[in-house]
Amino acid sequence: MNAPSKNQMPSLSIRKHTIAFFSLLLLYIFLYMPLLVMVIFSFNNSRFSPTWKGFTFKWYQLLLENSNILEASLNSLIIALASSTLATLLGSISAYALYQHKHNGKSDTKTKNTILSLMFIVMVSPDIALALALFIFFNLIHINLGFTSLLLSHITFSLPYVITLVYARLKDFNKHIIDAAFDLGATPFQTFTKIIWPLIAPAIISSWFLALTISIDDVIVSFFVTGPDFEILPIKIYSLLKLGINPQINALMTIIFAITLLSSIIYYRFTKEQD
Amino acid sequence: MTSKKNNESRISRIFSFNNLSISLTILWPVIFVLIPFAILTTISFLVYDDVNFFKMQFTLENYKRLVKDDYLPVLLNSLVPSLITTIITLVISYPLTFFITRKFSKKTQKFLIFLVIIPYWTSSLLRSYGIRIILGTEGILNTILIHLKIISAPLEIIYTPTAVIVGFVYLLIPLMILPLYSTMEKLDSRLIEAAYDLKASKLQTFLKVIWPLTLPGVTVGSFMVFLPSMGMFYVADILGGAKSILIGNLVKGQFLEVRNWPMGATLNTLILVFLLLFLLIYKEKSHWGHK
Amino acid sequence: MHRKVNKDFSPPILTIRNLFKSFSNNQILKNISLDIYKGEFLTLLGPSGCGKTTMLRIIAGLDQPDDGNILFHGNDITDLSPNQRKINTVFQNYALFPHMNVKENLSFGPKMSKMPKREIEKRILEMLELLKLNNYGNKRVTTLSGGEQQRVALGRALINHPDVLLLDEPLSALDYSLRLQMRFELKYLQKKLGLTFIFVTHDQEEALSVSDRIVVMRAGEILQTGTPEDIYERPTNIHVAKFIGQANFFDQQDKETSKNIKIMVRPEDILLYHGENLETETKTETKAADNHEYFKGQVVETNYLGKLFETLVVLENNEKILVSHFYEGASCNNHFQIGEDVYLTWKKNSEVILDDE
Repeated sequence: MNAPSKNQMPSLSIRKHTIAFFSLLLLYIFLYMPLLVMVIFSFNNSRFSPTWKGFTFKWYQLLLENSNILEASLNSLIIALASSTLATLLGSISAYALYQHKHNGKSDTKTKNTILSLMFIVMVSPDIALALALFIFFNLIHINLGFTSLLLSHITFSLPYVITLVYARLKDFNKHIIDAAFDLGATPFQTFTKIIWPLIAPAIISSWFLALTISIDDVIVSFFVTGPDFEILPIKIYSLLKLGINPQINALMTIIFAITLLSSIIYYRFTKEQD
Repeated sequence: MTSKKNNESRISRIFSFNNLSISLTILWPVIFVLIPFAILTTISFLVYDDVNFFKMQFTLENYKRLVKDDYLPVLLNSLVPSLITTIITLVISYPLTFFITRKFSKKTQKFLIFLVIIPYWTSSLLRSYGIRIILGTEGILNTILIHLKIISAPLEIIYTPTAVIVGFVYLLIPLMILPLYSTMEKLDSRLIEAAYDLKASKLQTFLKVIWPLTLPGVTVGSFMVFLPSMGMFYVADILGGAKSILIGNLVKGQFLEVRNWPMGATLNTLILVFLLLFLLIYKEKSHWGHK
Repeated sequence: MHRKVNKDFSPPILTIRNLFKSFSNNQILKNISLDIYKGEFLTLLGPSGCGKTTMLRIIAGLDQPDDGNILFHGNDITDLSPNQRKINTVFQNYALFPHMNVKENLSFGPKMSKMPKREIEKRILEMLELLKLNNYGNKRVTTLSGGEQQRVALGRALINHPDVLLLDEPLSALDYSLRLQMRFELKYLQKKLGLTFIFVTHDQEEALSVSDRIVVMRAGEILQTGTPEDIYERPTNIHVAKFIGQANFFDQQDKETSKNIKIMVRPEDILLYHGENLETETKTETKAADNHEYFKGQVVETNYLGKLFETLVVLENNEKILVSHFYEGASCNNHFQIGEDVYLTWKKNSEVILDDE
């Protein structure tokens, strides 16, 4: 695999592909420009002007004094941490059960594929449909919209990602290595701690980060399943945005972007280790 | 010999909390996805009630209203931004992703794709706001263009359907690039060389070899962009003002303002139809790598 | 060449008694019994799905039989777990722990059995030396070549000083020349350490070259057990004859019972004569061709293989017969042209009479 692909790799002559390179560059500018603009504007000493009026930290100061936003952020963080942790725990166990699942001593591909398809359906379901379905569901079974409904919803849309990621990792490694560990005298517990865990830990940690980011990013589902007594950040931002331009939002965005960037890098490191 | 009749291997017996947890695996999505979806769809066939939201009485009235109250044109209109967005993201992503997979080393490819994902992981709500800062009447784009004397009066982009489409393309393009990348990455360069070797022209090679082989990625990518865009009501609110209405906005209005659950559920059925269509096509096109 | 196994004097190290195993109504092993002796290189040979790997897994303790027993030094170990058996396995595709380096892989077994640190260190050095991996201790196994991974897998099993080593298609992932080299190394190691090897393969050439004894299996049953020579020269079964090497069959009737029988002759035992000088040739080779029928045929294909030369003959009854002999140049007397009429027969006593199944 490696040798031919190396041969195929033509020397990167920038001149020959000028247009392609330029377009690619434009794509990345397009992707990062709004983020960059907001980061810069979070330090701009002007409320309305799109031009630079000097450097300031005042929007960050105002943000930190804004108890509404702080409370919503804390709530968001609690939901994100709780839902991603629970989803990762539940999802990893499920993925392992799926991996080990056998019917009459034979690998049961049909059941496995059905379950994986179910996960796929949940992943590709539009947020709005999931949001409405959960909204009605919680209303009908009389779960008050708020912390519990949010937590259950966020676990619901994170779980398939965890199961799919961890299962893919488990499926990747040579199934005989568990046999080998037993053959070399390891107990089931030792086999788990010394072989299985070290091999799936990267997948588990990266799926935890993934669950964390999709939880923090979610607007639509949260919008429907949260209540007035438990306000989370996206809902708070949404109501602020409707009011018009507010540089505090730039400051908030900069902080969130910094956190995303950091966790992305950690995620990238872990997935790279798996290769 | 106590366990002679046991078919399981010794190891899978030790490590199996098998059937119990395999049921747990299914239980969660069944309770929190399949059952709620079923309830939602059922409600679209029930009668509206202003106290309890709906009455347990079968009716097709909600679906008839789609036609009677001229809902249908509005509904179809609401699909236009999503459709245009899907086409634009495909046209941009296809050649660029192909370029990435053919001209860079595996390591660089991974990094370039990673750069596409990072913004996607950042709050989409805040990024829509970023687009508003750029496109606003007194926004960056207009300021620059006026400064460069390209235009004399500011462009009125914000609060138009165009702004919504720009926002959609910006927010959703990673969802097109990722599936395209995963099919194109697997496309063996030798197949393209073989086509040339067999005297196919560049166009023929594209139409007969590259396009059919990347079609699964195109299909998945298109739906991954189209499906969520229908529901992103906040993008329409932030960038489109009151003028742009998506199904998402209609549904949200029915549920949270009018409080007509059956009608809201009926409008949502259209979204589920598209989801179903995608799942059928996807199943037909054999299994491609899960996202 | 092959070491004679002292079956008659020493008791077997492993006894397999009436082993049955099935997976979801699919019978994998049907009443298998077998004795394995200390110090022998025993090969389980058969096509995929014949039950050889299942048998190996049951011996290792990784699978449980439905019925039957495994005796080790005379003691029943059927119910013991893998770690209670002095048996280790070299797995197909090696199954090295990818997150550990060579040393960590090697020391896994000794650590599990709580061997003292100094002893482990000593054994690791021994293994690295034995397997010519001296400078590889700290390398990650994923960076090693196939042959090197193979040696680590071998070392990881051998370091526990097992009485019996099980090898599940250990050479199948290697390329041809490396496979040939590893055959000799395996054989050398086995003799040097005086270990009992149970080797599973579907490659008959591999089986013939390394084994003291071969067990030919098919569809969950043992067809024949014997030395490589027994198996090749004296197959007791038409399937064994077909599976090992190449075989020609002549349909005949038993003169006494008038049952249909097949006469099996190996390609190198066929004698081939130019059609026009049958008379003169038979005079010089009467002894060899004594008492035999001659078959008339035509050469349809010739095949130069370097050391050997193959001639494919179609008989008058449309049977195809493959003949091979050492290549001695195109001018030689036993060089035949395509289209040439020929007569053939076989060397005296080289034929094997088998039941027609």
